[in-house]
Amino acid sequence: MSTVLFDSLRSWWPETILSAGALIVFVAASWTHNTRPVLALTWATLGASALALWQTPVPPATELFFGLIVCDPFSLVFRWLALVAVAMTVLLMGASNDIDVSLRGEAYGLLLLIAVGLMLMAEANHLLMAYVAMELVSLSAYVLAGFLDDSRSAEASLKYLLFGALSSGIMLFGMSLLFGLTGQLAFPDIARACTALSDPATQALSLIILLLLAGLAFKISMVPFHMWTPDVYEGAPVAVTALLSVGPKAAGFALLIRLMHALQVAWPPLVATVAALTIVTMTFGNLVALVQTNVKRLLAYSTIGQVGYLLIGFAVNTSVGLQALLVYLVAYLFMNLGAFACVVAVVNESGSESLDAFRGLATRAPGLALACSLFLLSLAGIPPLVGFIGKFLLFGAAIEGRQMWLAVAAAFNSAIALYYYVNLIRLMYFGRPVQRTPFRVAPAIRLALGVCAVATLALGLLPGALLSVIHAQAILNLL
Amino acid sequence: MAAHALVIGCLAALVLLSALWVVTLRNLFRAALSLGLVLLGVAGLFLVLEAEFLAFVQILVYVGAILTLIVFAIMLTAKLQGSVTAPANRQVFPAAAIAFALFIVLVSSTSALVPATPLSGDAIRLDVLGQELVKTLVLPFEVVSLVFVAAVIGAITLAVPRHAKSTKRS
Repeated sequence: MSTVLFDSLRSWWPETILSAGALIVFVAASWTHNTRPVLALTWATLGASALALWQTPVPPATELFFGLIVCDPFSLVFRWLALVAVAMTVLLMGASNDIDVSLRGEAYGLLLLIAVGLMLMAEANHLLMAYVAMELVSLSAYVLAGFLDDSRSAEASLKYLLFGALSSGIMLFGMSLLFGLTGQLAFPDIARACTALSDPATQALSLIILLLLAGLAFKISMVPFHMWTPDVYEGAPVAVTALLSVGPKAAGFALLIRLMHALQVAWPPLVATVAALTIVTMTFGNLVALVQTNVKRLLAYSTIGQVGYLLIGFAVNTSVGLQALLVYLVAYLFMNLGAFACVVAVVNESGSESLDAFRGLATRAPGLALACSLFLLSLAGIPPLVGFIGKFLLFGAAIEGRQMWLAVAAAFNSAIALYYYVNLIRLMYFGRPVQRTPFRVAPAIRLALGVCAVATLALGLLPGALLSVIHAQAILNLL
Repeated sequence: MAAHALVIGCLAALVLLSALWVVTLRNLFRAALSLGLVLLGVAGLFLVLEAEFLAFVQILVYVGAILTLIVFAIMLTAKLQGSVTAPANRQVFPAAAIAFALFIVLVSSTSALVPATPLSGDAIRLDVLGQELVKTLVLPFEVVSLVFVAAVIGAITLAVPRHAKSTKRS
């Protein structure tokens, strides 16, 4: 018994360190009024966790803690994504001036707990574990969305909580039906039990998949569970919005892929539904983004559009599709966090979130405008940036999976999206600035911008490295 | 058998009726008390279905602790005391239609199902459950405590008046 626990802990040090670090950060935040040591503790935790993750042995697939979680190359990709996303958020939060200084310590602790939850979501191999991990991420995120002292932030937090509770409830109903049907909680056992089911039960299985999909669709803001996205993104602190647009999306996709892999048997009748929702998601996000005037709302709808592209990889349900999905998730992490780093810089300087704050940015902060353009062009999928590589693979997967409609819709949507991304670049370079004074970007934001810009460019120019890592590793034991 | 069905029917009617009260009563305090009735009714259903442990947990945790917390929250929040108007519910008919449609779908697709083997009583033996929680299920058990930490710290952070806090610190 205890040997299983010790063996499991050996592969689970990163999460253990993050959890302990979060608790220490909470205690430290209640002791000291100074944010500096708390921030140092947060970075020490993140660094130690990254080191532990680097050292973690990764055999093809190891079931840990009696099969509750599984540490395989697939989850390793997502553990790194979670760590990078949270580290970037800590960087942005330290540099942004919207959160009250007295609340910073608690915010850092909650961010570390979100990192644990995100990693667990990608590793979960058991319905109970999956649910607990999702709640850890959700609860911390509900609170963080309300950290600003204004009514918009409170509204964001409350809306997020209510929608989250509703979709969790629907998903739990699906889980309980699944348990009633199969008598199993672990994913491999469920997969085995599902193959033995006969007709009335397989129909119920389709319903179960739809119910489970509802809970996860909320996490990844897939239409029709996207309604919370713009309001929450607008009300939450910018750094938190940056994390919400990346972290839970990636982990949600990981859990979605793992869960649906276990329910593969009942998949064929639902392919058309998921493909249709994919097209609706991307079209809706991109069309509504066209008329936005608040940059956070614009990026919220852009996120919904991007989730639509990501869903292509899931809807085609082939190994090529999954690989494309993973590559695009990595790309999306860097380009979207980069775009939000620009928003943090502009909001810090001007205090305004309207698109007008970006007017004439090129004359005031040329480096920032250049970086921002880079991220927006990458989000639009312009070569040679990494966004293009990801999109190219996704479109290819749609064609290879004989889902021409998905490819056509995605191409059409890219054209729409190009308009609003380029419009923002036009404002920065050709808009008449409201103020002319140049402004300096905080060092932490510059670091975040630099990391994201280098990744966006380098992975776009040399996609081979990323492709080989993800191809060799990730999909081995899933298909 | 008929008596069994009758008891279940009565309890279900109680649950449904008080659930309706929860969402329609305009006084929040009364809505909270109706929620208590719902929870008690569900506990009764568990008892009839021979899941005594679940029934006791339901009463101890939900009726005993959570409902008390809700009532405290309502009584401590000055704005919510007395007969305040309920939040705007303009979309009551679409919401009812969607909920009813969901109910029909759920019933139609699950009513045909019969469990292959009746679950044995051993499945929820208490000592086994307790052992499982600290042995094979120790990880979610621990992660739940992280969830509680996040919830408690978050709630305190949001509840403390910001100005009081920053003046105290500066």
